[in-house]
Amino acid sequence: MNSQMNDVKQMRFGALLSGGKDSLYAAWKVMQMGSDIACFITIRSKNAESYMFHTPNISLTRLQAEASAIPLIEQETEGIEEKELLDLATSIHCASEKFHLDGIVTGAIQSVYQATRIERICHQEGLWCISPLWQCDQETYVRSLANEGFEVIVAGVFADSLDASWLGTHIDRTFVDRLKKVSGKYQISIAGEGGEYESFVLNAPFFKKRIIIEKAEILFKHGAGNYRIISAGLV
Amino acid sequence: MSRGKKTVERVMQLMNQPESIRNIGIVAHIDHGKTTLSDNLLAGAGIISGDLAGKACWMDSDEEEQARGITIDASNVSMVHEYGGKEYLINMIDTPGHVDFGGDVTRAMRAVDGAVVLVDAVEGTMPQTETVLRQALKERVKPVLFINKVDRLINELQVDEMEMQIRLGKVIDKVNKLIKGMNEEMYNNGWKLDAAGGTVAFGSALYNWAISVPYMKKSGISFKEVYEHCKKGEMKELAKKSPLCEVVLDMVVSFLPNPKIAQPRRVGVIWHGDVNTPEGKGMMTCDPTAPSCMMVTDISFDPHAGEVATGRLFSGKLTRGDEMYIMGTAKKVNRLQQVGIFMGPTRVEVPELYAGNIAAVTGLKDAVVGSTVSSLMEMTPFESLEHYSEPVVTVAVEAKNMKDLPKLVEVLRQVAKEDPTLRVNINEETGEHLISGMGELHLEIITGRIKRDKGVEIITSEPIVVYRETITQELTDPVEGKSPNRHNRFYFTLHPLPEHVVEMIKSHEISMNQESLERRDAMVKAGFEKDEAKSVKDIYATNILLDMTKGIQYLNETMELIIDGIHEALDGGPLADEPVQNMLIKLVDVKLHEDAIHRGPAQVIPAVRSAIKGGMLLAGDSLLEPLQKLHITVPQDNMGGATSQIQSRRGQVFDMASEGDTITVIGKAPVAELFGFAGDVRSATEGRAMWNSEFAGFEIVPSGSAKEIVLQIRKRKGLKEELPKPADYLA
Repeated sequence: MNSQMNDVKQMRFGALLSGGKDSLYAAWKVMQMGSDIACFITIRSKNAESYMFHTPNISLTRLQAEASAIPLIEQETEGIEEKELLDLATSIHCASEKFHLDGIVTGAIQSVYQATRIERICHQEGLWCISPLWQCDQETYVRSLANEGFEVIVAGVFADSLDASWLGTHIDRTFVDRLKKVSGKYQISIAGEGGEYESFVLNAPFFKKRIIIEKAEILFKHGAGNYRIISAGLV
Repeated sequence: MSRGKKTVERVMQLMNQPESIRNIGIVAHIDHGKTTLSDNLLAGAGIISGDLAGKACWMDSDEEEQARGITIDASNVSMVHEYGGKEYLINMIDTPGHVDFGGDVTRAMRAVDGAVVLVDAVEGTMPQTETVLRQALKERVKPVLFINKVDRLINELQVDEMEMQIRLGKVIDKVNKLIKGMNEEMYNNGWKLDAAGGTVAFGSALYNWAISVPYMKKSGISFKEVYEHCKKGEMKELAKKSPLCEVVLDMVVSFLPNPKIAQPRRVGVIWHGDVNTPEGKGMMTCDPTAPSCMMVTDISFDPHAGEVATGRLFSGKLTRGDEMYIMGTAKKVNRLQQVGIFMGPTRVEVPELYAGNIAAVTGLKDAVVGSTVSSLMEMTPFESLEHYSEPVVTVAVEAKNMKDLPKLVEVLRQVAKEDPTLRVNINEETGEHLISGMGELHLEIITGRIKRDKGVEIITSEPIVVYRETITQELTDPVEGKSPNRHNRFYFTLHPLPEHVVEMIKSHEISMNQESLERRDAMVKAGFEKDEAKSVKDIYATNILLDMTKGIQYLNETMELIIDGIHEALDGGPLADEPVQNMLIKLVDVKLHEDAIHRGPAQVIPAVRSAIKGGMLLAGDSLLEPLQKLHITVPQDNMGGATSQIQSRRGQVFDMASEGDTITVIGKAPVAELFGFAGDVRSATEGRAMWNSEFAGFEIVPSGSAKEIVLQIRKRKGLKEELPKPADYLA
């Protein structure tokens, strides 16, 4: 995807995993370059309003890790601004020790806030930090998800003009067309980079099994909503 | 035709001599005879035949106007008058008198320097006389008086010579009292009307005669002679001895100011820029060599030439091909295609047009009514045109045939451009568009015009009243608005805006067009603290936004979105989604995500909007309804019918004045209750009531009916049919 990618062949990476499309797609891109994803790292925030870590259905990253047969490092954080970064650093350090990592993969696209903070930690640990989606064309990227075998649903909406009807819908061509239509003056980022929506991945090209949702509920209040998965399994 | 052509040549010669130009308007209450007077003046100038004057209604160029016998749009005409051996160019605008079309008067007054105020000798000054006079004085337009229908005093009321003089004197006194009350300074500086001084004329536009003291001296005709002629019904005789157009135009030329005299007085009032700039100096001196500055006061559509913009050129000159800029739009060049003047319904092209004239040009495609047009890329815009009354009635229109859908949208945009007192709300998704206007009649005319002139078949809903919302208490404990992604927070306090500040906004003493220092001083004068006075970020309708925060990072680049969010809340309040008025909003604290993508429009706008809406509910948000003041004149016997018509409509009667055997009932009632009033009052008084109405402002709906009305509106709009709670908006 960019020149730096040629250097990552045969390296071992830990991929930050939020459960959403960006982190899993970034991991997939690294695999395609011939490198290993040695582990996933998930930070679970107790603060629903964390600047850093995305929260809906975060506990279900366990299923995604299991589906792809890649080990998962989990870390809890209070989610207090800036302090949560220490928890991230700790978990990256542990993962790096345990799995002999050369670098970290992130799904950052545009958020300077997230990207710079992760890069700083990697630098301290002497690790590579790569973000294969950085500054990519968002529409092309989101459209390619379905084409490349990702099954992704909308797990949360947090923007004016996105209502409860979006929750649980698949991120596919129809989704992109619909999103572009309502975006208008609100300038909603197609990839949800402004936190407009969050996603959850049910299947990916490297999954050995796919996730099926057994029970879920829709919560919508004050212009924001979540698609809370209550129980899910692997088939 | 040849006479008409000759007029054009003379007009063109006089156009570049400001001393010889008079820009005037004729203003009056409905039916006092404006159009008849205009026709007389035109006949005198040789534009129409003398016999037709009084009947032709030549200036009522719209079919609808002729059919209803009232003037709807202001129309323009230029003519030449000879006085004291010199020729003068008179640019005249005829304006409608019906209250529903008051916006046209407002616009016409911007273009002219002097006004002939027309009053019916029998009826005397009426509510609209007062409204139009106020508008004229506000624009520093100098008035002279013409008392019309004097023949009726003699022939219908049978008054003797003595009583006639007394009655006319009373009319003059009343108008003087109005002028004094509205602007005492100008009243004392020579604007007091004085029959002996020559600023008053009397006559009958229908019979084409008039007299004034100077003209009596000039022609030797005496008041007694006039009275005798009238008594004997020798109107034609009188019209020959003392023709109306001579008398009135003499008065116009002698007592109304030319642009060179008027502009220094007017520019300071209608323009708040620096008078020492080239454009400022140019306008103060009506200089044709200065940069061109024009204010658009009317836009009409010509089937051949397209959009025609009419307006007053205050400085510089206009030539075909000139590059002009419209203030407040993207700085795109608008090239003048045709430059001309209006002669009634026809437009005459001229090679060049100079400062001090009323221009009619094509090619200004970005201009709307009220636009400031200049040869400069940037200049301080003119004070915006605003009318005292506000749109209070709405109808929904939709195309009858599917194929007309796109055309209707186009037509509605045109209609909105032509008449700025209309609010047009286009909804392309549902195809149901809303038009709001001054009253039932106004909307009937507009929808009629869409069908007839524009050829679009439409279905019109029943008229709907426009309401307002405002807060009745203060909210000093800041309300918090959270963005959907929860990374941005906004804190506001809300305060009812004092009445005198609202008035200052309406009269533009406080406005966003002011330089910030000037605005700060005006705010301090209004009683604001200095730190508040310098923190005005936005004024929207009669609401003010103050930014009371200090040193918050990224706030500047976010302010525009905050204002967008506030506008959304003010466009439709929480109670009934009706426009919000008279509220002071203070932004007291903000927390923003440092990443720009996390504080985009989709986050900031809803956060601010819901904070304001939720906050309003905490601050006693209430529904306001428009009221109309009613004057009903009936014979004593029918008084009961008239008063009961007011009282049965949640109205109140507050004055009754009897004169002879007639009585005038004055009262007010909510617009919502007045639909169909015309028919009902007619049958209740056996058709003997004369009545008129005027906008009387918004008042809080009495608590007894408030809940019911709110729920009705919510139902009509498809909102949840229950009273909203703060928790619906605030997390």
